[in-house]
Amino acid sequence: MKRSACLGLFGVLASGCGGRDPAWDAPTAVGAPAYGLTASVALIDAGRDRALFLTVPAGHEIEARAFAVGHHVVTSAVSAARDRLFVLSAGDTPRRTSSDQAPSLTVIDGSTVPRVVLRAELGDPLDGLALDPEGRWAVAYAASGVVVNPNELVLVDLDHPEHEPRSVTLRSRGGHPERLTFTSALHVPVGDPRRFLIAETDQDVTFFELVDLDQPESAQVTVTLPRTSTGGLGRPAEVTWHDGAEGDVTDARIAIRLQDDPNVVLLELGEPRDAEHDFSTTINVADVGGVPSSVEFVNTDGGLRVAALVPTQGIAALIDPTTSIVEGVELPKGYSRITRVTSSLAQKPDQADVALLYSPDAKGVAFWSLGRTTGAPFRSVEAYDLAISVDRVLDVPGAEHGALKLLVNPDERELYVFDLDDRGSSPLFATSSGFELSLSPDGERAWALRPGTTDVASVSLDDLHPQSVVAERDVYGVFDFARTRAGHVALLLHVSPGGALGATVLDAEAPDTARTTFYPDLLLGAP
Amino acid sequence: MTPRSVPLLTLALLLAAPALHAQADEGAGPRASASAGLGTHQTHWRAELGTRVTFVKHAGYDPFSTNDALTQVSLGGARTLWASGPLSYAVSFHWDYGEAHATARGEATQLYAHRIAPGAEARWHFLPQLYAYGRVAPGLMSIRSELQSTPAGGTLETRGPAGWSPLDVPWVPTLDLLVGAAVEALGNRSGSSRDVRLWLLAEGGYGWAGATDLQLQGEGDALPQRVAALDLGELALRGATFRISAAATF
Repeated sequence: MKRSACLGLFGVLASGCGGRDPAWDAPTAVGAPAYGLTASVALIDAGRDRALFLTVPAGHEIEARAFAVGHHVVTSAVSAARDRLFVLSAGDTPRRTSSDQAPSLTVIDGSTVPRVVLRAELGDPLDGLALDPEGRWAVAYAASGVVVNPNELVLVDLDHPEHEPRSVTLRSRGGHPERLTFTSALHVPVGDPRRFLIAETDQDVTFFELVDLDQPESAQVTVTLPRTSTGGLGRPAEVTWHDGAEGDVTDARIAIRLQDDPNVVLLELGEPRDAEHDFSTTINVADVGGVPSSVEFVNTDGGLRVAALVPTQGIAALIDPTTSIVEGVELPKGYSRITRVTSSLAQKPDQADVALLYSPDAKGVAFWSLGRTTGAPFRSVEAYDLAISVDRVLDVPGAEHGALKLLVNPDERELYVFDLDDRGSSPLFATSSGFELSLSPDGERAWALRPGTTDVASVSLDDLHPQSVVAERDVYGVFDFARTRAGHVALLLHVSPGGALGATVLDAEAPDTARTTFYPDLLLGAP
Repeated sequence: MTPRSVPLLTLALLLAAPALHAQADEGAGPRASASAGLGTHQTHWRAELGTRVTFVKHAGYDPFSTNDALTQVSLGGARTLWASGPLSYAVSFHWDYGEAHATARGEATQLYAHRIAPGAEARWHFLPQLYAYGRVAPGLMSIRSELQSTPAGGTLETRGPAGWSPLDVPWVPTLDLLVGAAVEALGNRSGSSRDVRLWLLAEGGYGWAGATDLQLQGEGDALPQRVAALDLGELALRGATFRISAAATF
């Protein structure tokens, strides 16, 4: 008895009473999301159900703040303005006690003093998140409960965080939402201009009015797409919209490109047919002669048109949305993508738009003037030969270098800085392909990174002077953001094989590898 | 001998003590039972080897251990300075050394703690072979904390005040307030005997220690330039503490 008592006492002594905070055993994940915001870097620490915000008050000094997010992070995203982080969490499933968390959406302001601005509880776990580019709405969708309504959308009004999230079910005809698009404000014949949320399913398109959540159920319009030439269900591939002529409240339109189909569907929001509605929809279909790869509303001196690029035909089809008459414009190459760049020009045309045409399958770009401008013919297409095909066109933020577009293709060793004002392109060469390019929020610099290597470079957009930065550890992300007090810093993110994170901080405006600070184990240091 | 092996040795001695005591009684015979007074049962030098376990509830200990126990090997000595009847006073000195190893979110961590503590001890003998005591022992503890940083590719560790600490590790003040009991497991019953006696001691109480900042720093060729300190907060290795020892008096 005495012996067993001694052994028991010894066992207690040797094993110690109580364990440690489980946070120290929380897993780390290789490839955990990291986001650059305007004045901070956000790291999703899913193992501890938190988001870690790194700010730099002055010099290279990192200040870390941790914010609790809902349990079991499902997805996260940053607002278009790069000022807020959105974290969608599944919560504790199933909930057994009152302390178990419900599914939730957490919104954190990522400015120089990060703070939680909204925490909304949701009904069932959701795994899709769509953000309004204008910052008013967040929509969670794609439920994953025991019984799910795949067409249920949960709308969160970010301007009114005191409002409860509102659930809306899409009146889809058997599909489920695959992509959500927020329109800008569109004029309708009755009532104020309003914004719409367009939901693309695998067989139809539903759009409904985005109104205040305390208003009655919003109106929905579901458009069943025409069958394809092979008899299959039409599937939406892209939607775009336009408010129409200024002052005309019956001219708002939506265009829908279909997958593997030469038809473009046009919706007109016209005069209502009864007093119960503010508008009616008229659907037209235009055949552009081949499967279009991209559609965009453009203003020409002949009026509003839908430009549909048909690379297999080497044409751009201009569809008159009023008559559905199609006019073909021959292109020098089979360009498949279009970006309207009118607002980036110093000398903007009076009426017509200017667009940049490019393709990941054809070298070079083209400058498409859709109106009569000084020294340029009507609807002229000027091709610019480049040594690369262009996969993406990056807009430079801010007014200072707004006329610059970065033409990139990750498979190429070159990238081009294209000046829309003088139509000049400047090549920049990298030692190898696989570079990722990002832009500073102030539009002063571009950063090139080959992920998983120490190769980083900054390019000043003032004089296109490149500055190589060879980091001391492999880099997986470059984030350029504003200091709290003045200036900008660059944070190079390092990820160890086990998922531990480190960072090298250096001055973004004058990067110098002799003046850096290395921060080890970022996930351990924050409270 | 590691701190973890000392409890086993001490436990073995503890379990064997009754048998050893019985053998000593048989060998002592009438001469021992006839002796009177505490003599060398009370006034002696004492050398001891034991193990000490401190239950550290402080959150700063969490990165270095998966439980609250800090186990240390303990070496000590004492000398009786004054005795009157069952009461006596002694001075003592103890050195405790322990390590803790764990991982902090996958990063290997180590902690090394030395404690040196001179003390004053008051004893009360209930029997020649049994006494209770209390001890007050202020002291110092050095704490070296390490983390193998995979992003940095090397070891980060706590440092002492530059230019002061001979071992370049942080030192903190400590204070032990302990009560315990000692039983003579093996020895001559006669207080006049100068033979070596074997004692078993068990004590417990509170071991206070000052807090130290866990600013883990790193430098060297293996690490990047200008590594910022990793701030893991504060660490105070304080809490309820227990020590069991085997001691020889002479």
